[in-house]
Amino acid sequence: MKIWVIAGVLLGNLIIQSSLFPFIEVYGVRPDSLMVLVISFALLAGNPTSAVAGLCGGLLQDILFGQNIGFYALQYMLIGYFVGLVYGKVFAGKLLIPVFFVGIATIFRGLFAFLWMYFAGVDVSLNWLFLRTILPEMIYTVIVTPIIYYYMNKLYRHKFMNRRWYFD
Amino acid sequence: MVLLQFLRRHSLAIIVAVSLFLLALAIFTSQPRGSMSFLEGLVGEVISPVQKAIYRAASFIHGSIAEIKERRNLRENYEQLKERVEQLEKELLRMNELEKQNQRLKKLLDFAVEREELVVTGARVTGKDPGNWFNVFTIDKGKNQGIAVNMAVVTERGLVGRIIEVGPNWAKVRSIVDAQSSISGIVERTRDNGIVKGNNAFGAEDGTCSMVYLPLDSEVSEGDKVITSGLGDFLPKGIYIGEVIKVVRYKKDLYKTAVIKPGVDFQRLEEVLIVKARSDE
Repeated sequence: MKIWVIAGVLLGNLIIQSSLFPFIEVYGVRPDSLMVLVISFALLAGNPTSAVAGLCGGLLQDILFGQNIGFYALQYMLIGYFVGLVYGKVFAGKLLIPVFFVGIATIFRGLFAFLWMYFAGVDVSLNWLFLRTILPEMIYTVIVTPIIYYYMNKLYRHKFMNRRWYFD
Repeated sequence: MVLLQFLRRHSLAIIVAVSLFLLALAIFTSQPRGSMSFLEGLVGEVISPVQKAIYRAASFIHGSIAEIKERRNLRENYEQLKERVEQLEKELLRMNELEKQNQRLKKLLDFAVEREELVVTGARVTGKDPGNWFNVFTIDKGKNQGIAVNMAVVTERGLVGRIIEVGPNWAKVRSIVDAQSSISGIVERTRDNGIVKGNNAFGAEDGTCSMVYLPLDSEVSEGDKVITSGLGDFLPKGIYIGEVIKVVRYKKDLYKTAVIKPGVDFQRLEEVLIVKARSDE
């Protein structure tokens, strides 16, 4: 059950991101809702759910929109994995915690993109990239984080999500 | 299960391995390739209908939102332009008004310059009795501006009337077409004296005057010009009153009567001149 819910959330997010977000674009910047979702999974479910969700969500994005298969998948998987490490160590009910991790993760994604471009031989200044893309995206994503996290939290409180995976 | 335990124990190693794989994949797929890989082709095959549907929905939403935006813009523009047109129309009206006023005042000024022996002051008509004709009307100058009763009121086209009442900053003028007005006139060609009375009695307003008490042997005829005689003590001599349009003699009267059409248009009066004095007196 749970796995289908997560898959549905990821697919729905993809549809919303590709259809609705162009209209809430501000100066060419959109909130990164997939990242908020991955961090929500990380804080509410921990590994391996968040890492797998990041991997799958990222792959979907790669296949649909990206040029390099694995580019987004790698980023979101790493974010899901590392944020998932703090699962159970922080109080997941507070809204400030996902906001904090979203901020950090956006910077991480920006740095990753910068490194990628750098090694691909694209001449780009980190300063410019930070001011023009990373910072606005971080602000915008941080603004929508409480909304998405609030509903994800509610979803996880729902009874059908309480069944855990029993592999052994 | 052994598999899960293995996963848990070596999660970092798995992550590193998958990361490296993804990185390699990303690098590999970033190379320019002529054709899609088999995997990409397969995924594309599965996903492209979904993509198409998403795209269609997105472009529909985009289109409708853009249309609404555009419509709102159009509306805004329309309102703005409408406002602007209204403003400009008002402005134009004002300009036309000023232009006309300018012309009228210029004519008045010409008169004042022509008759330089007369000390005149301009005044604006501020009100009139109801009806088409300016029988009695008020002007915006009074005692404070040196206006006194019986002063002559003129325009460049001739005599208008005289002041009958004076307030601090206003005065009442009785025009020569009013039935209660009577002034002393003279026919310019024949030098016949007579009294010019207004014909605008209640119920019979035609805007003419009658010159009565003309001698029976007077040769006055149509087209003769009538001017003020200067008899009496208020009207200066030689101000044009109007033109004779008809000469009649009523049966029982011992004098002739001439109907005069005043030079002033008594249906349209806006600015007048008031003769305050003669400079040579």
